[in-house]
Amino acid sequence: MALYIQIAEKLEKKFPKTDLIGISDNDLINLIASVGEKYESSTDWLYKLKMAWTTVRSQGDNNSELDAFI
Amino acid sequence: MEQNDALYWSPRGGNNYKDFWGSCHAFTSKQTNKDTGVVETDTILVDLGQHEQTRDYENGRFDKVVPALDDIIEIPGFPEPDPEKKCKALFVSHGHSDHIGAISTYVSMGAKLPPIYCSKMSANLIMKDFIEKGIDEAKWPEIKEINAGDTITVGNLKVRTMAASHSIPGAFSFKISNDSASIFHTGDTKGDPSSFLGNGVNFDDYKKIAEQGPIDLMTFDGTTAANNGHATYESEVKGAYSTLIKRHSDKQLIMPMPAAHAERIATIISAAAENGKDVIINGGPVMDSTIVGLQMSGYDLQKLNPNIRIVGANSEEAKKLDPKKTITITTGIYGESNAPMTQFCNGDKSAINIEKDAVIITPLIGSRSERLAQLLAKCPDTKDLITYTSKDLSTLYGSGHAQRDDFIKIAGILKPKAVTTCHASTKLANRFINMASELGYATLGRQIRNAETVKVTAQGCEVIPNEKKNWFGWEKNGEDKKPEKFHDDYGTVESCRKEIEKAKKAYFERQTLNKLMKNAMVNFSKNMGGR
Repeated sequence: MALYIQIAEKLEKKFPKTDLIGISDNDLINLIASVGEKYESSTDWLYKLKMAWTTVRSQGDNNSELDAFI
Repeated sequence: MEQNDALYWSPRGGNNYKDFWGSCHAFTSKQTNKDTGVVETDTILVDLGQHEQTRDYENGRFDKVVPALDDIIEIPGFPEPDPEKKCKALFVSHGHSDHIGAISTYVSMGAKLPPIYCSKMSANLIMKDFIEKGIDEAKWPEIKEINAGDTITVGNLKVRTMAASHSIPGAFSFKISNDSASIFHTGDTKGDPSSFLGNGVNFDDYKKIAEQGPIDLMTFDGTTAANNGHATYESEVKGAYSTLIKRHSDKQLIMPMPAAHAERIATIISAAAENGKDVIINGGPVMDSTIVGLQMSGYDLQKLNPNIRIVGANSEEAKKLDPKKTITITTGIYGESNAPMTQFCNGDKSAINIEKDAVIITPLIGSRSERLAQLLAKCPDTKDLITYTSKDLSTLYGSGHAQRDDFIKIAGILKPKAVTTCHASTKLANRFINMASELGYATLGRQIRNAETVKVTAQGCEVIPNEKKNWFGWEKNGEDKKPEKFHDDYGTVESCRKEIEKAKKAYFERQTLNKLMKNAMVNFSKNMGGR
């Protein structure tokens, strides 16, 4: 099985403008298929993939977070 | 009870000299088995965080710093710990990286981590770290979801969870006990009963804990504990936002804020819902990640606020909304170059839609946030906009840590026999000691340093000094190498005493000044009333 991050990288490359907050499960499954990857129907799989996608997208984002911890 | 039977607490990170990053606390039960006479040892950890400002150490030569736990966790390349000393469970107070960030580091090192007990929110953030580092799911440690009110038994230890209120949902305080003693570890909390994600502190639960038996030691969040007043509650923050939303109900409202402040996003959205404003999220990927993390953990902001629409800025729905009927939550509060507000001020008008008569509401506070103020003032499209900051309305800002009144409230319910700090530098700990002493609480006399141990029994607390090297550090690009071990430089015991005296003097001077100012205000009011 490909790592979440690998699938997310493919998705980000092909669909860089996707709204990750509002995307439906069905739409996400279709996007996964369109990049040649398989949807795994295990617990939280889609959420984990969505989280990986936000991670890929946030690489290089320098939003400073320290104050959020305080 | 045998002589060594006790509950032991050892801070392993977060009780630093200069700061409070890298939280990690070991709790060990030593208890003599009545039948066999054997002393049974059980150790658990609360939090395994990473240091967030590695420049604080060794002239900044380390790129990554985490607590060194090779004495209680099996790590390849290090001597195997004594089996009876091995950590049996890791509890997580909340999902900020200074409390969970080292978990993925240990997994990457091939360490054998014990089961992790945490909220669903924390579990998802731990998993996010694993995903981000590309750690194969088969190597992830076992994660067990727990909820407020649960009691988990680990050997002779009992761990009772309580809801804590911080800036992220799914935060816990813990009461940790064995037959000898009980410790209340607050974790990061501000003692706020309000939360728009439904996870505020439940003081009735604290009362139940108090009724169950004495707390021998409370390790209290020392970040801002000695500050006067109480921490700004989420209900007060909502009130501030709601007031301004009402005042400018016919305008587009733009609200820059920190991207990962999950509680605050929920609070602002709740204020928007109260005033019938739809919400557009345009904070970039880190903010998206916060929202997705909330969804993943059962906090669906749309379901919590069904009367309004909450949409991503890239969605088709966002384009259809009338900007004047919306609030845009965004980032850029510190002038971060990738944030939509910063990009807009720097000329990229596609980064965020800002109307010519929009109103900006943002909790600007401190020198770092002045960068956004400067950007707004320079940009021709924002310089004339009405802008509200914490200078105009102080309750737009609120930290996630308890202050003096919160300590008084929590300690007043739990009535601990002694109090000390967690999550505090030496300076902050000294301020806390003076405050707690003035309020009549027994303290341990000084900050308990990382790697030291406190033996806790019903008879009292005994500090066991230790200066062993408590941190693992990796230089840049050296994360695949064996880490170096080092320790905080706390200075001598004598210099520590001097620091406490200095803090004591400053504390009482400040208290006297506050009293004088209060009296002056009362007299002023009386005089005004007399006119």
